[in-house]
Amino acid sequence: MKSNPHKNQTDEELMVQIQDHHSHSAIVELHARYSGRLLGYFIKMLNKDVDLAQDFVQELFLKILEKNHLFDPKKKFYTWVFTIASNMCKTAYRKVGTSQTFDTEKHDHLQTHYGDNLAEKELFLRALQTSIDELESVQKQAFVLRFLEHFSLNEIAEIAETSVGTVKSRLFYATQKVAKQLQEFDPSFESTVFKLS
Amino acid sequence: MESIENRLFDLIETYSFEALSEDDRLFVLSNLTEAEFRAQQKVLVAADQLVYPQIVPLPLALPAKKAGFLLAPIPLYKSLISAAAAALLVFFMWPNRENTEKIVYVKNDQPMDTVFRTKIKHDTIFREKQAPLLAVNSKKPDTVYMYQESSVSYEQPRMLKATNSIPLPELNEAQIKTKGKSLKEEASSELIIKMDEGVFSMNKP
Repeated sequence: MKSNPHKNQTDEELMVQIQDHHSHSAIVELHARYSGRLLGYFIKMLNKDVDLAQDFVQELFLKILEKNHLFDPKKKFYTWVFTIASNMCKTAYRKVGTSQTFDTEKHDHLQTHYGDNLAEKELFLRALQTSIDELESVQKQAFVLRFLEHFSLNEIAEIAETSVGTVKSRLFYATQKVAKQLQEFDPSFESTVFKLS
Repeated sequence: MESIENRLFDLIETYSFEALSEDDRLFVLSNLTEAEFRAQQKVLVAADQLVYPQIVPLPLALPAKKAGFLLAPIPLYKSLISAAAAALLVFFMWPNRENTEKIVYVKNDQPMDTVFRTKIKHDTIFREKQAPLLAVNSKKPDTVYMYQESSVSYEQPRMLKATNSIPLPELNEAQIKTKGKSLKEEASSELIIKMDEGVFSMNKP
């Protein structure tokens, strides 16, 4: 059985090998390390379209192979690769748009407190899922990376190529929008207009 | 200064409403209601419970490596270096019109151990004999014409084109009419002739 020659190499070292030697074994190793996580990210970002997510993972690694000279070895590979993935999603949104819309009429009979029973919890989670899918691309990117992929705020800022303050702001408004869509599940939710301008 | 949204997000993400300090609570309530704060916190907690399909990624399908040396991708810096090297090669290999070769005589001062004497025997010797020069045009000219061109240039005479500025009276009969006598009619003219003859007769021997 062959031992993996890249096992002890860092992601950045593997990228240097790709840059210098166009190494296919190095890109295969990076694919083994990151394809699962990237597929999960694409599934979350592309409204659970698994086939499209699989295609995006393939396309992403081919891009890495072709555009390897754009990688700066001083920076982290995984933030760079998630930046590419996020840009691919943005391009997909521009082409297709967010088609899913949350149908509130379906849940009119569910005016009970969230968590009373499992069925209601299930409905709540589906509604939450749909609300996340309907977010604007930059807000959705920040929300998914923070609360579903558990990246730090600094990493998200690096991936989104923006400041930490902007990331926090996007996260606040994304959460606010989702919460507003889900208010029908919470009878204690006061009917108010948010005071923030 | 941290913006309101950023501070609110930090508080929502970090503390429950009950755990907020008095100042933070006042700050939150000046921007949101308690229900809104709680609802946003619920969203963050519930997001962790979302379930997504666990799919195994497909194996990576890499494009076949381009076979052949000529199809291999060349980085820009390598192509630039190659171009510069080719230019230098052409520069040094280009035939030079000026003969820059020099004959260098090297004096060998070191004593030689062995002297080889080489004698060349020639099989055939070609001796070139120079043919006498023949004069092809030996005719002498019969007549020699000599031409001499004048080197003196004559200037064009100057033409006076000035108009007559002196007013002249019109000619009439009174003016044309002669007032004196002609030499033939003049008596003194005969005297002159006589005198002349007398002078000549005096000189005669």
